[in-house]
Amino acid sequence: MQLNKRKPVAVSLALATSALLNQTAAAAEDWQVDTGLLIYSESDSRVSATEPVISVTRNFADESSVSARLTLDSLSGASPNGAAVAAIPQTFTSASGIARLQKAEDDDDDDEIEEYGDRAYYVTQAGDTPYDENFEDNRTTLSLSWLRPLDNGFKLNLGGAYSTEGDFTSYSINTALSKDLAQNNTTLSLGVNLEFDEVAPDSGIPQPLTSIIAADTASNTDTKQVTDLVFGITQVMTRRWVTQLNLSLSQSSGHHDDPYKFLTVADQGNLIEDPNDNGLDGVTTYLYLYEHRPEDRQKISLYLQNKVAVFSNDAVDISYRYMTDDWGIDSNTFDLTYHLDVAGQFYLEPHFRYYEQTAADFYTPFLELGTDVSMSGTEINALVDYASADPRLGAFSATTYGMKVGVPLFRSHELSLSYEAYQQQDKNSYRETAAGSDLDGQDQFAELSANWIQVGYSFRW
Amino acid sequence: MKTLIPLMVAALLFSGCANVKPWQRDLLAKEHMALDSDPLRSAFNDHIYFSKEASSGGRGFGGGGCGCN
Repeated sequence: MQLNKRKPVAVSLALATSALLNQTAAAAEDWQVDTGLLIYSESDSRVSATEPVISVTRNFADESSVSARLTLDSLSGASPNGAAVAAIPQTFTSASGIARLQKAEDDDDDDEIEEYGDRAYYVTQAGDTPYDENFEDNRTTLSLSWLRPLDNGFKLNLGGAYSTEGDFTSYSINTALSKDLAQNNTTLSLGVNLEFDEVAPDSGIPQPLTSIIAADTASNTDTKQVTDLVFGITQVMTRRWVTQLNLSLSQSSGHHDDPYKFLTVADQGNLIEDPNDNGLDGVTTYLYLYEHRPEDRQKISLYLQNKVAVFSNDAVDISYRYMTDDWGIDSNTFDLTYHLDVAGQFYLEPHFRYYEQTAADFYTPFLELGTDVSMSGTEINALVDYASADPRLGAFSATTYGMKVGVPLFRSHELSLSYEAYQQQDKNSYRETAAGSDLDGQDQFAELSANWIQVGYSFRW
Repeated sequence: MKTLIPLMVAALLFSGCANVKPWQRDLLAKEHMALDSDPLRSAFNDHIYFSKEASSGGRGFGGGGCGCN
């Protein structure tokens, strides 16, 4: 936002230090409304999403404020199911498709039976990345926040969020306390966030590391709890330079498995027929096991941001984040944005982001019979505690290039448009397979390519 | 406690910085100089990265409140 209204000093500092509190203070009593629309799409007809959002903030004369944000999110498309790419076609049963078909049959709903009859099974052709095409969800998120100045330069923020989608519900509450020091040149902050999530897939929670055909369910629902702590310092360094350093600690306990993801079990690089196969006539169904992740995850991240004014109306924003967790994932994120004022009429913001992460210890593109899984008759036992082929837990780097155009309009109104293009690059070491086998020479990581457009309109009155 | 040490060190380092007076805040007062000058866009982007990568948070809380990760 670039509003032409000059603000008093106290407000400007609040603006500069409000990132942790996720609030923007105002000079006088007014309303601020921010609206936006995100249109997101991935290449290869993977996920596409449309996401409108509206945020309304009421600013009071005592610099306290209340705000509410509503986000709607509509997603559909295909998502990698975790199975390895093979040189032969693969037929998958879709747990969610079967569950919906079952329900449609119970309800005697012909339309639904027709719709889901084709979705219960799907075929991936030789050499193609196996995708579950049935991915479809609508999400609604409501978040509320209240900021209040206290005595002696302290500010208190209280907030909460509720998010719901077909198979997932999340509740969170947070509080942050900040203190201005050194003639408002330094702000110290401490924030706590508590989150409670419940996952409830249509087909139940699969028994981890068991055959997807057996379709054993551990329960109907499961939960996890997340606690986040953020310590921050914001410092005005010079007349042109403000910097922020945040240290974040996160503890997540409970169910982390993705109920829709599984892994191929290979024997010397060849797919194995599932001994429990009692499904489709004339179709070979191979052995895939549901993934499993540890019940606990601890993360630490360090975030450093610098914002430097250039000339009288430009600015450069450089940030770096380091994250490490006890799943073996380390990541580096570098972000650079330049704010270029064009003759006081509008502004441009070219953006570059580079991200890289190492793989989780239990990430693997497939499981190997003998080392990772044992099989005797129809008895299948995982020899590993945890395993996932989810590309999000693999090693990759990613670059984003973006551009935003913002046009200040009459009386504190602003219209903006931005475009971002995102591309991942595989950085996993190749898991060797026997020459000439089904998996030999096939891609072991589905690099994601995505782009998105955001339109924003903001105003005050 | 260990985790607090880097912040305390940083606080000490920062406390030696030039003291910028209130009347020298003309540039820092501009809206585009806010550390998060477009919270809606930040929220969109953070949510996308949270859904596609194994990291989240940094600027603020790392939670996502969605089943996408």
